[in-house]
Amino acid sequence: MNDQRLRLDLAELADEVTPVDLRDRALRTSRRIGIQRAVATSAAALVLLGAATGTAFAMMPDRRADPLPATTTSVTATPTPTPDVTSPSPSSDVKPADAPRAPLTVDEVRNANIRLGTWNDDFCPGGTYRFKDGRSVYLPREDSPGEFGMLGTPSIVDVDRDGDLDAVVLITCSPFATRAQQVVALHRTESGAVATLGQVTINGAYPAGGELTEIQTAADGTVRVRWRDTQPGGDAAQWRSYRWSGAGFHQTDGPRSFPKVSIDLKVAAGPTTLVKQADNSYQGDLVVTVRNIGKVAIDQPSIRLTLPRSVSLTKVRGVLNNKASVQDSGPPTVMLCVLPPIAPGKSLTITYTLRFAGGGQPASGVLDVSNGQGDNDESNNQAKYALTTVES
Amino acid sequence: MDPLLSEFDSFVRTRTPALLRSAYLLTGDQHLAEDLVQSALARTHRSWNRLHHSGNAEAYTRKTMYHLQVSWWRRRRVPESMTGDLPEPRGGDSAPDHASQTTLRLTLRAALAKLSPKQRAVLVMRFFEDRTEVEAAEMLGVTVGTVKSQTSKALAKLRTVAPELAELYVLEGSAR
Repeated sequence: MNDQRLRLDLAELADEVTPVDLRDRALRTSRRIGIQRAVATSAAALVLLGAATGTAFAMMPDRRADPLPATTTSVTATPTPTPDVTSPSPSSDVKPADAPRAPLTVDEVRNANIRLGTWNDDFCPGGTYRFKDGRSVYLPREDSPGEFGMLGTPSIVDVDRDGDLDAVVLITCSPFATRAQQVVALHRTESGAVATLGQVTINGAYPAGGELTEIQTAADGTVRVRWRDTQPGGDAAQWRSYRWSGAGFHQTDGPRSFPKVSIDLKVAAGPTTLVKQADNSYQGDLVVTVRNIGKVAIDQPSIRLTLPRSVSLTKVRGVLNNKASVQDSGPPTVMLCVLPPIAPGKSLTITYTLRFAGGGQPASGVLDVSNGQGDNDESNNQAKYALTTVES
Repeated sequence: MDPLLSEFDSFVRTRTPALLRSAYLLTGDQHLAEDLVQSALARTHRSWNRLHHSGNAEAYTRKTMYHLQVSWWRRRRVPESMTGDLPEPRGGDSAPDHASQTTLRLTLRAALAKLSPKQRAVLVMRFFEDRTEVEAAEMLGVTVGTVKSQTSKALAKLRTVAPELAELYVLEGSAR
């Protein structure tokens, strides 16, 4: 398809919409969401009460519950007694505090009530969730992402070194491409229930924070978490280690952050002379250099050429498919070109053939380069170009 | 006035027109577009304490808008309001006048309604907002491969449901 034509037609179609002021409506909706969440919180309190009396309720999120305390035995003192949950009966199986407790099983963990700490408040709020076969039974919001569950198999290990086998589990909630994840440790309480011991580590749902992709545990209680760099252009992985300190989990080994990825494009344009043609117009080549002065390859750079009045683009070379499309029909007209990938330290040259059909001297124009990923230094992403006409 | 609220007001008033344009292409309806932007702005407002520092408020709002649009559609499972019969194919005039341009717009609007929300979203992001495949993938929460395949499917479907558009959007191979 002709991208340029489609762009123009979409822009024209978008002109049909009538601008309206949505400020008051947005604030009203915001207040309504706040009330709905408060109601959900109250419902969660009732549900917890029901669970404590052995009533079979599914757990709802309690967003006021975060941040996650180090020990949360009071939260899930009794498991939800459904047939598929293999937890022991809470009332008939109480053991002395110093007696060994039954090790947690993978099945139990995959069907447990798990308390999750502060997360992405908008789509994956903190709270207590019931899991079935490793997936959350209820989504925290009606518009929450469908992917909300455990990643991989829970790891059974004595994480708090009390002689009983606990569990460590990686849980994901994915509102966007970057997943919101946290690693949580579970243990068995004195009453025999499965409860959250504490949060090992957590990421955010926003880009550049890193993703948690895998967990490993060691017999000494160390939890190793594999972090993947989610910065644009970053693909590094790190293992970070955490240990239970008696009151919470703390990082004991490995890096604490990813080194900042350097992404930097620089654009430069030389002065351009337009020579008079037989039809009294002026024509000449604008030569532009785009250099990757960052540390990572730029896969899909693009460049926008803003044309001064009475100047048009007749040909372009050095861009992908040697093709330009109208991004904005103006005035001023803005032409968009996609560039081939640029390796670190490399540059490419673009030649625009411009035609000036006005009177006097043409005004200067502007070039903007974009890497589509966010640039560390935006001050060199733009260059002005000057045009001068000559008779021959 | 609370400075945070004042900042939010300013954000809403300056960015709503642009957000509405994208929302209109996503929904094909003025009221649905307003609802979509209003809902996304409401969520932005709830996170404003965090967002106003980051400078990413618009990106967050747009992400929310795309996310809501797809999830609303999943729940509704009914065609959007802009569906309808496609206009008759227009004649072979290569320089469209006002009437034929209006027909073309109606054709495109109806054809967009035949696409899935994700297909429509990738078209809007790639060809209206001029986002890269990487950006579109990040916005939608899918892989770059999915963006590529959805774009390809969307364009193929446009050709199928509105052959007259395919004639217009035929690859010209020229510099412009």
